[in-house]
Amino acid sequence: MDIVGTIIYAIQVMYSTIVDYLNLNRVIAIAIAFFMAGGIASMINKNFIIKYFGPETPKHVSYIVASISGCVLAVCSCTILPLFASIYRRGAGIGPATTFLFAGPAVNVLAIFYSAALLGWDIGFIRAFFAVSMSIVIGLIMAAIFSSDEKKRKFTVRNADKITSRPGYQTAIFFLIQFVMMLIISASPKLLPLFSVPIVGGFLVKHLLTILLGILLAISVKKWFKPEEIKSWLNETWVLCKLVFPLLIFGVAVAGLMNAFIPPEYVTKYVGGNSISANFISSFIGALMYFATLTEVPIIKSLITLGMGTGPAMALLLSGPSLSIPTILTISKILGYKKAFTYLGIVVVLSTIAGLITGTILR
Amino acid sequence: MNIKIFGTGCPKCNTTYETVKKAVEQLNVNAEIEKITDINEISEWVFVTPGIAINDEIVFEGKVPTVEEVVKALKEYM
Repeated sequence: MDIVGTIIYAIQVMYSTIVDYLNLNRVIAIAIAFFMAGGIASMINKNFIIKYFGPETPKHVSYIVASISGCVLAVCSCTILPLFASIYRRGAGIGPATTFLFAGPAVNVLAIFYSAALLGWDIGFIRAFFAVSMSIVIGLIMAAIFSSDEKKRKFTVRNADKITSRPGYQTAIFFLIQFVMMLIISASPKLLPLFSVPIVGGFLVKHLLTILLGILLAISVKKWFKPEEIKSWLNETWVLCKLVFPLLIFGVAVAGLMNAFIPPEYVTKYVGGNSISANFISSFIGALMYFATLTEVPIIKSLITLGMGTGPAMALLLSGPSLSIPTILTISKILGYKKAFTYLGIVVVLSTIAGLITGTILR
Repeated sequence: MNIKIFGTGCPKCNTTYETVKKAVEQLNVNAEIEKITDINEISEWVFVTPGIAINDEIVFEGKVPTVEEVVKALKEYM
């Protein structure tokens, strides 16, 4: 086997996959997503949300907050485990705590948008839906099984009075503009052809709209925000960018390699179609395999091209980000092996079911 | 002076450690810098990593402070 030739070929594949992938609209969408994530990281007062995990909060509120706050509390996946450990040990209740544990990485705004962009809006939406609902079910099951174990500890949260230091409407508009920009720039030519109408050459309606919204954003930021808030926002954006963008590229490169080197027959044999075993295998691999933030999306796209069924793909999308062998080991240190492996089991079973449902409704 | 830095070892936590070291050097203060990486121990102190405690009082939680911010905090304890 020609080793050098293979390596050269691999590098060519990775390069061409990355270049193919980074078309203009995608790069713009990714950039906007990072600015939004930076905004979330710098402007939302985490403690305001964390206080809702306390033991005095009505349980239904805790569960709902736990299932969606992950996208706001932890833009960096490394924050989730320490935060989970803290809220659990201080009395959040094992139910809401495990809901957060699963939802944190699963309900990741960047990841869901990326899924929608690469795999289709239907898959993106279903992923978001299952991520939120599964997290609540997981929490409820854990609470039911381990009901006798309720730690009541000191759950004081400092500085928890306001969600942002800016007036609410300003923050809302700030995020809304960026959100709309992202929607417009990634508008599908098939579903919303209006946005892809060319104005001159390759400059489309969507580009003009995005630029106009960008100007609007800049004006409102300049008018409303203090200089150190702007600086903090841009700094967080940059830190995230440095952290996540290389992973994005790496994920795309690995996906390209997989496409080039993995024989489709293997993929179709084990995870093709929509059988229970295909979904289960996919779900199980996802639970064990480590996926750095966002890398699961291009890799799963690659697997789909190689023959993975839609159902198993969804199973992998759901179990992949939240779990991995290192994560399970850390969770065992926090919860003990019995609870940790029960959690693992519940995630695998529910992901399998979610995959089966997805594979059935998305023919 | 005792400085505790709470972090599991991710890039943000390492940056925080470097920032604290720089601040300590800048002020030329005699400080013992501890890195707390055990997740259960961290959870006793802060909710969100990275976190910094000076003489067992939490001064930063959930953000990577700048060197100037750490210097300002250290001065309060000198």
